[in-house]
Amino acid sequence: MVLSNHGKIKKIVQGCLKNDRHFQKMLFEMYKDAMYTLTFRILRNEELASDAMQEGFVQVFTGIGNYRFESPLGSWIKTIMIRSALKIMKNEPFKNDSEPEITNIPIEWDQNLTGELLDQAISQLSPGYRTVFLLVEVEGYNHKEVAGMLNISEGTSKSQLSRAKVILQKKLKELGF
Amino acid sequence: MPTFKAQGLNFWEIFDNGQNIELITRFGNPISDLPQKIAPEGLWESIEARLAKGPKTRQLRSANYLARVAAAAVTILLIGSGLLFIKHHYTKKSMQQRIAIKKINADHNNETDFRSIWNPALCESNPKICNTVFFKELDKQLMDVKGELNLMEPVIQNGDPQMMKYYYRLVNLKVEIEKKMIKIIMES
Repeated sequence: MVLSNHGKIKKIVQGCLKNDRHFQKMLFEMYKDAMYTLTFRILRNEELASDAMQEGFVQVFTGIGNYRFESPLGSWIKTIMIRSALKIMKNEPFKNDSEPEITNIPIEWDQNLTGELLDQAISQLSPGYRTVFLLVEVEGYNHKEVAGMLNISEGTSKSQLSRAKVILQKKLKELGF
Repeated sequence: MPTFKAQGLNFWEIFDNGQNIELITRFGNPISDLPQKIAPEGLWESIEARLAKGPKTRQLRSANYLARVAAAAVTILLIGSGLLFIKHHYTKKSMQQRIAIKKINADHNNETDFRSIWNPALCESNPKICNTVFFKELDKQLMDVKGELNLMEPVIQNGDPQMMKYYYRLVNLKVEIEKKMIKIIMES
């Protein structure tokens, strides 16, 4: 019997609910690279990203009963991974200040700028700026959601992003873009 | 725990539905071109090992929880018995104290028959009242009664009931006079 991807995910979730290692590994294999990319982008450290993955997936498997199929499974797992990465990164304080908001100003990307170079510039941002930038600009969360995840105010999330963009553009200029 | 759904990108929805990831590249910027990472080898084994430890950890947690509950119960029991002991001790003590006070009061009541409740120092702070005719009359009566009592003291030593009766009548009179004097000063 050929299952649709949705049906396949349902079957995997049901298997995970029974604590079946086979299905747990299937779920891990489906999402491991995407989640590792996510945790690595936040933490910028392979070892820490692996730790976040371990912690995150253990939480996924032990808390799979809380998944209600109301949102895509990937989104649900991603939220857990972000929280796991942020927990590891908790030593990095977020400044709770307010600066003029320029978050709606779109970034004008140079046509020659590659993802590789952008990634290099992002990696140079401080953890606070980097996280907000990644969550808003790359992962597509809104400021309310980011504020909830990072336990900061919406205003702080906006100002962190605006400053992240300014610093990022400065760094890109240094790289010749 | 609240869940968040990314608003701007339906990546995971499309991913879950098995659509081609290439099709969802809707950014005209290098964000969509950010390098992807490959999860390191051995990660699953570490997760599996942690999952295998899971029930044990839960058991340990519950054992730890039970130990904490037991410790709390013992503490509460100790505090409770301590409080009971203190309450009992102090109740007993206060009972003893009350008995002792009653005894002292009783003794004191007996003694008031012989000792003066009037304090002449009261007149030092209230010279005007003490110099009134009425007050001076009371003071004179008090002195007279005291004098008679002094004379009676050796007489009552042999325990003659008639003499004792007369003596206590004088004592009561002395107390009445003193009370009047104190009352006048207090009301002034």
